[in-house]
Amino acid sequence: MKLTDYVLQSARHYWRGHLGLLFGTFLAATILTGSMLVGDSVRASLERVAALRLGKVEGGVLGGDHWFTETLARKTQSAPVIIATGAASAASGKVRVNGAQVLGVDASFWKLSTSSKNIAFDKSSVAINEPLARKLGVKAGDTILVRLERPSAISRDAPLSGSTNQDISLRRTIAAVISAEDFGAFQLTASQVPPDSVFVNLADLQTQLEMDGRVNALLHPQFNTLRAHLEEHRTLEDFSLKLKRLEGAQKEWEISTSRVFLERSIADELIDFKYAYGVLTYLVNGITSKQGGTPYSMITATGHGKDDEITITQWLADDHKLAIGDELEVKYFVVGLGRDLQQQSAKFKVAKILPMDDPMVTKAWTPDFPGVSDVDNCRDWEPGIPMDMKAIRDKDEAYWDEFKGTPKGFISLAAGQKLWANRFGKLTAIRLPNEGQTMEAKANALALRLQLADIGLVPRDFKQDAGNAAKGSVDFGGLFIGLSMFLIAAALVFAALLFLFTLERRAAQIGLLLAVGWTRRMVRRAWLLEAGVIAIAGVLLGVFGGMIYTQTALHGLSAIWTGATQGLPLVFSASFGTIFSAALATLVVVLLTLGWASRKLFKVQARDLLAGSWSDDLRPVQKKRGIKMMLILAVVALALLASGFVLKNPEAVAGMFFGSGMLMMISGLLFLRGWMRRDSGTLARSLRQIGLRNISRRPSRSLAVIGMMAGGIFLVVAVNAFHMSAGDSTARDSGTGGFALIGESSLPVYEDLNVKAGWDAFGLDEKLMPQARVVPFRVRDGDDASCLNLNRAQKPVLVAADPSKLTGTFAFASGSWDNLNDATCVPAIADQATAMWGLGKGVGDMLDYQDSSGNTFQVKIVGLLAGSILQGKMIISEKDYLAKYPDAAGYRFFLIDAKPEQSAEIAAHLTRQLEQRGLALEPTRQRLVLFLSVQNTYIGIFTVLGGLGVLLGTAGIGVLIARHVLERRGELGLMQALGFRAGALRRMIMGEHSVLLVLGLILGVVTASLAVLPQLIERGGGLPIGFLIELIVAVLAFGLVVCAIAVATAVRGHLTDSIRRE
Amino acid sequence: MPLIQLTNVSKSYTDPGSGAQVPVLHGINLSIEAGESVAVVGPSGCGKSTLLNILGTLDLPDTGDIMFDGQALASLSAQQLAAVRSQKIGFIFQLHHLMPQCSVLENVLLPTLALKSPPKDALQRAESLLEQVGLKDRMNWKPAQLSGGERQRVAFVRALVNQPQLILADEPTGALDEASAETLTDLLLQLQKSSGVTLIMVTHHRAQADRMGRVLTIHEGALK
Repeated sequence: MKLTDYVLQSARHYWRGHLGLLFGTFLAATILTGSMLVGDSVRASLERVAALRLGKVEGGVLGGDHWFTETLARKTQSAPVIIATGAASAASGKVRVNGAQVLGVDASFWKLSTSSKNIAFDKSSVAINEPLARKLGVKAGDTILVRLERPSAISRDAPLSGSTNQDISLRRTIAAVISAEDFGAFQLTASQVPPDSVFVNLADLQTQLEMDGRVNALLHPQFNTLRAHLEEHRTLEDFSLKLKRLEGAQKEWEISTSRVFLERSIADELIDFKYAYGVLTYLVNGITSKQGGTPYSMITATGHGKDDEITITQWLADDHKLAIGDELEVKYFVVGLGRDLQQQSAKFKVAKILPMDDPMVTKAWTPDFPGVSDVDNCRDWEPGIPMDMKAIRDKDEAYWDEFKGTPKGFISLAAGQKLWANRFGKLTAIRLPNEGQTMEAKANALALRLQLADIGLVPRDFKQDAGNAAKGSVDFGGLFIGLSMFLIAAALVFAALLFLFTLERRAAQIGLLLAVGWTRRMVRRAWLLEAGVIAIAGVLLGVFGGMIYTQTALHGLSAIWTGATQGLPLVFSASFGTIFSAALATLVVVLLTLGWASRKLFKVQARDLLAGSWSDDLRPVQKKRGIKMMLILAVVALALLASGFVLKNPEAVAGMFFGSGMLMMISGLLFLRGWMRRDSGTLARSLRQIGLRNISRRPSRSLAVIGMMAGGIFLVVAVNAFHMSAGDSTARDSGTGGFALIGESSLPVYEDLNVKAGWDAFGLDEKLMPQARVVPFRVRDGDDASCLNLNRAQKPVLVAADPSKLTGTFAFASGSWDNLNDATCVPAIADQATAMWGLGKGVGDMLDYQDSSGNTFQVKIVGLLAGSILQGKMIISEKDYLAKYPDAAGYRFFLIDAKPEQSAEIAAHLTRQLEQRGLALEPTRQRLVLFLSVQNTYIGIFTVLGGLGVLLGTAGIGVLIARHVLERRGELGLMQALGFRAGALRRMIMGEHSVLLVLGLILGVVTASLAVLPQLIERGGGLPIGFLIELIVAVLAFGLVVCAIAVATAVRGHLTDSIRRE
Repeated sequence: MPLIQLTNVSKSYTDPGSGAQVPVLHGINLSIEAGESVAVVGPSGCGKSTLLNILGTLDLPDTGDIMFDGQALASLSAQQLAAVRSQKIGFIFQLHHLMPQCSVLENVLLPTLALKSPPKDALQRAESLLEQVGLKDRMNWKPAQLSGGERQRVAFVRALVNQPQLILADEPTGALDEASAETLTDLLLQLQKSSGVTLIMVTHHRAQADRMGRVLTIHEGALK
């Protein structure tokens, strides 16, 4: 015979006794496997969504504000695409969807879909995806209105960028409603929520946006191929550069840009050419001298010279009657934050006067300013800066007619850059000597000098990003394991208790094996192997149980707990690796638990085991040690409680109270243990007293009953206390920051909505608007890192505001708004939940971003907001933002301060007046509740699973009681023989176990109340007290019923037979 | 050299109620030669079983020395003591303590599992011993299918299977009727003589004790 034979035979022989172990292991394996498979399924569901949203797209380039040639896409075998944001509404106009994704696509785009199905539609029609069709209530054949903004080559925040009113509306017939499988779910943002998309004919959209031949994105099926070939096909046009041959006294090439200001990275490269020189032409507000004033003129800065000297044209000299040496003053706007313009002035001395036929006097110096260069009259200018049209004289109109934008003065480049260099650039053109090359050769040579990456046109591996986002997503496996922890613990305790029973009944066998020379290790190993055989069977059954558990949980997540999955269509998925890991983990945990639970038994002497003279009540009582430990725990618990009242951080406070409650519970259990082991010193004079004496007969078992009950109640009550409510949303230190409204606009809002100019721009009520304070945020699109996104955000949305406008708002878990002024890095503040769970980061951690020139920079988390409406975003200062994204224009995210009674009126007014910008506002409280709903859903899941754990624990108590009573059948028989009636004995047993249940209940409720004290004090209304009372009563009732059944089962039949048998 | 040499051995227990030390054995000096058969008699609670447990390394004395086969037991670790038990000592208890899940043969072979490398002839020896006690035809039976006397015979064989130098029997026939007890005593002595093993038996029966080579009487923890 081998050890394995002995083990297998024992397992087979005692299979009935091992049923409890089998059941407990089965349950633990079911929950663990099921939980881990929930994780697998959510991941697989996210991967499925990622596959649908990307189709065959692997890589691509997102130009954002940088539009490049469609040819670049074609030459790299990519699909040219326009990606824009707009608002879509049904023809009736009743329903409007803001933030819709407007895509300009052609046949090459559809080839990248999973199905490769070509969706053909002409210029008079569009296709929309299913979510948008649902929201608008439209179908194929209906008419849709799409409003979007015509892109500007230059930031609309830049001076001379033209009018901000560049919206266009497309009225089109819906040719098709596209399913997710046919690329209706296409989006490049890692989100499980499908976008609302409108697909427009590429050529049609290019025409409407006045971007013929240009796109702002390209998509490719192979990232590596794209990366290898992208730079090969670049042209000057891809950099928005124009090459012009200048025919004059000196033959030159001029490089300018439709963006007005050459980007710094490009200018720095091109100025290095031999004999190249820079030009900066600027529209000044006026030129004044003692003799007169000339409004709105161009002045060019180029070449060298003294900083305070100016060369003027004869026309200007005549206008002011200026002579060489005279002084004049130039007034101009400089750029502040946003579209803030501040007028400044500089004085110059006239150094030279150029005749109007001088080759220098030419309009070639002046770039094409949108709204200026393309109009016939000065009075029609719309340069995007405030203008006093009355100041324009007839002679100015005449100058415009004859000389257009020809500069009226020239200053040195250094002087010009000192005055007018801004975040958009420091040159409007670069000139190079023309050495006789062809235009094409020169353009190619120049393009070779540049890299698309210099302007942020870098290939991105969307597929890898999507994989990372799905892999790093919220770990639902871990989450469910965490939420099921008590249930798993209950199953393990259940298994361990029943295993111990079996073990105790077979204690003499252990004694025998020790007596015949087996070492303790051998005996223990044999027992654990025997348990392992049973556990393996339980685990195998549990694997199947786990699959059913997963299906049930997925159903729950799709139907009841939708707050946790936020619209993700869930599919079941089970990988062998996960199942194997779960099975192995269960087996190890079960065996460790059994090993731990039985450790004391294997230390008992063989002689005691053989004689049956052992039990935990015979062990020496270490009273002093128990009291000491109890007192230490109680003191630590009180210390935690006291610090909980002192600390400010709500998370820390909750932790302190939770810890305090937990320690109090352990201390209480120690107290009860001491109480049970005490020598009562009194004579038991009634059956009830004898029953109570039995409580202390097996202290470990009694404590297991109390502990199981108290632990379950404690966890369920305490965790439910974290059920979040929005609380007082008007308080500045609340999650709303005291703001009344929050909102986003589909299109940027360039105007300051706190001043009259802004109100005028949108026809806002001048009586109502002073009652509101708008804090605008710039937005750099990225992944939503809030708890509403199940994917792990790869590049969280970056928003920027002036920190001084946020001072004193929101509660911080760490840091303050002042931290955004740290000049040593790009500091950022994030919501604590976003940082911890969405990004896995904390204070001091860095995140990589790319600036508009394609350079990587790091954003450092310097502060954390506690439970705020700013979830999902990284907040940096506007100053830092504009330094990294100088071309950024307008604001798309808003917090609005208003009195509660006026907030609805202000919201309605702003939404109506800014409809063209697609502004959607909602009460901040509503947004906060939405975010809190995720956490509350998790708590709901925990309550259900924890509740099941409590019930299982209670059922375990029933088994425990039944076994306990069965062991005592002999003495019960004796008592019956002595004349006690069976009913009285049943009542005695019921009484002693009811006391245990009630003790557990009291201990659980008291300590849990301690743990939830801050919640009770601060927001008693948030705690579901009614539900908790119902739960506690139900648990007690269930416990008593289980107890009664157990007693009735164990005490049935003739107890006196047991004496005879003995 | 005697097989067992006890010098001034004492043992006491702690009273769970008062916490006071209760002496069980005191000043035991004893020498037993190999091949001897010794009976230990005395009233209940006099320390017979404690002495047997100490001799069987299941318990350790508070004071005094024990030499077993020339080896001081006090210097041995728990593992070494287990090895002494498996190789040199066989136990027979009042209750047979057979494993109900194992067959008769498997029960007999149970001690061989404790050896690092079980002897190749263990099976043969087990069968032979079972034949000697008249249970060869029942060696595949389960203990539940045997009578009380038969179970105890299996326990005898189990004690002898590893060819120990010492058999410790704690009232081996205490749970049997007189006739069965007589038969089993015969069998035990026969096996002892044929194998040359040393036998120490605790018994309440004077007649059974008198059949042993030597009788030791314990009274109030001391040898008389």
